[in-house]
Amino acid sequence: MFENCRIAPLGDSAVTVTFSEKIDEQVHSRVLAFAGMLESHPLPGMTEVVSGYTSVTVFYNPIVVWKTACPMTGHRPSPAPYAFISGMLKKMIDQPVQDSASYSQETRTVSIPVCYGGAYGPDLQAVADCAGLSPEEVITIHSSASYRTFMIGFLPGFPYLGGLPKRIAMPRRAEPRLSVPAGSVGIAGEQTGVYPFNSPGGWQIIGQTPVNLFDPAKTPPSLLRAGDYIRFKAINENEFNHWKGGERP
Amino acid sequence: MTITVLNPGLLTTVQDLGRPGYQKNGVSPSGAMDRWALRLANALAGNDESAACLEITLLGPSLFFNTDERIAIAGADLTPMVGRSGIPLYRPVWIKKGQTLTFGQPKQGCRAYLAFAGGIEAPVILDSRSTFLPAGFGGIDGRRLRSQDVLSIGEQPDSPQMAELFESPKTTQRFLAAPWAVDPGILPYHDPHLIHITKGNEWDLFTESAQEGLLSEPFAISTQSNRMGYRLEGPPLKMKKAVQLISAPVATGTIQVPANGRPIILLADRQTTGGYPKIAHAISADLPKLAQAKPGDRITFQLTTIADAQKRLFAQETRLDFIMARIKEKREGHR
Repeated sequence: MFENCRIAPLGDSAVTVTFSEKIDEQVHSRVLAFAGMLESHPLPGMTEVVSGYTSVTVFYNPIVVWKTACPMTGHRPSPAPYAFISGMLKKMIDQPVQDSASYSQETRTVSIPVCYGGAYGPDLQAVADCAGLSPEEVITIHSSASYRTFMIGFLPGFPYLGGLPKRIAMPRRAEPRLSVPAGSVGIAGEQTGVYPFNSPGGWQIIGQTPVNLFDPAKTPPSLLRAGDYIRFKAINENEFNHWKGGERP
Repeated sequence: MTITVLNPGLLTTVQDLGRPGYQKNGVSPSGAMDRWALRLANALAGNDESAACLEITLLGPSLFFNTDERIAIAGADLTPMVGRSGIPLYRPVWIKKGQTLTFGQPKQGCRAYLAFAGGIEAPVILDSRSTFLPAGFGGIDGRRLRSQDVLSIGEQPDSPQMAELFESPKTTQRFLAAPWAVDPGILPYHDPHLIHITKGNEWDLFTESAQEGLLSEPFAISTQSNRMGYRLEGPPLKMKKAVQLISAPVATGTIQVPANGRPIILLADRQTTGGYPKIAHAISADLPKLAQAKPGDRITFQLTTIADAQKRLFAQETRLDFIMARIKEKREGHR
């Protein structure tokens, strides 16, 4: 099933294992299991593992690999760190898939409250017009889907979510806003996501969540992780303020 | 032990060796842009290599010493001074209480690392004291230094001979520099504007003329450049045909090319994922050179292999190990 697995360097201190060129949930489960296996059995010199939609990237320190795993012949480490790490990864890929499945972490479903529309979602009407629906229908569609978190990246805590119903897909704004408030829930093409921070942004903003997606004081610092299923739950303005109020020390 | 910031300079931040392990949460390892210089400054000041220092960019700060401090500066020569006297780089320097360290014209390089014996005290967030500017946490409140900031420095007992020397009535100077220094021949900045690269995953998707252009033309570092990455100006790099890639993890040194054909080198505070084609990666051994290049500088790229890139890194590390051992000997008073 994964014969097309590719191992390639990502510069001189990382390696990417790509399981497929196509995004789908089965591939992603394999990705998460493989990443889980590496977290449980770190390779010598490995500094971290990051999973993507269809790939796993292993970051390593070549100096540490050289000093701990490669015997020196003359003045050359043998084998070279990249060859050593990619060799070990190949062995792991060749292991039966069932073995790695035991490393899959438990799937969580996270409910994200969203105050849709009005000042919280200035582009809700535009999305509704684009889809030929009422704003209420857009809210219903957006909040009845279950979204898989494929990857956390780009910004701290930012989830790349899959599964936006195509009916409410809409291209990015022609001109990005200079500042989109933290917690803004947006649509861009067939993607939906949440801005963890105030930042410039070109997404169509349909609502805002009072929940904090990233807190560096917490372990782990991001609320979401790859593999989580997200559901958006509509709340009203009172509930939004109540939630936000609760956050104050 | 404290230092008061009289003037923060252009961009001065608290940095250490960064926080690997959080890219899965969207936080890049960040830390010092020139890790080699930071480690060396720390060794010269008598610190563990991971102590927090100031990363000083081009125009340096004005720092008032409320207490005697032992410091060391490595990386760029940004003309550090006490009064009208120049402070030498690449060796321990003792600065007396009541003195002000200032910086003049940048002479060479872009980023200098100022280590204080005992390290800068700042909260440890996600295993590091580094300032992560994109998300505003770490270091001093997640931001660059400002006037009136007070830096807290850790305690670090001096060796008895040096303490005696400094307090000696013969020392009328406002500072005292060690009589020895690191040999400049050992620094990793030889050929400072030649950056070695290895092929990126999407190298073959670029036209031959783009590949040749990357390797033969100089690229200027534009003013749209910072700790997140450098945007380069040069011949646009065209692809054989437009591609839409799945966003995926990237690395420090990754050279990505958006639709406009102008390459961006991702650096310390980079985003953790990207969807642009990766034409190449700058080798880790040349990251110190990149850290010392500033807007307006022109760099050229030379292609090499992963094996060669790693060999260069070993050679650099071997030299650093050697220097660290010699520094240790000096500090412990051996000949």
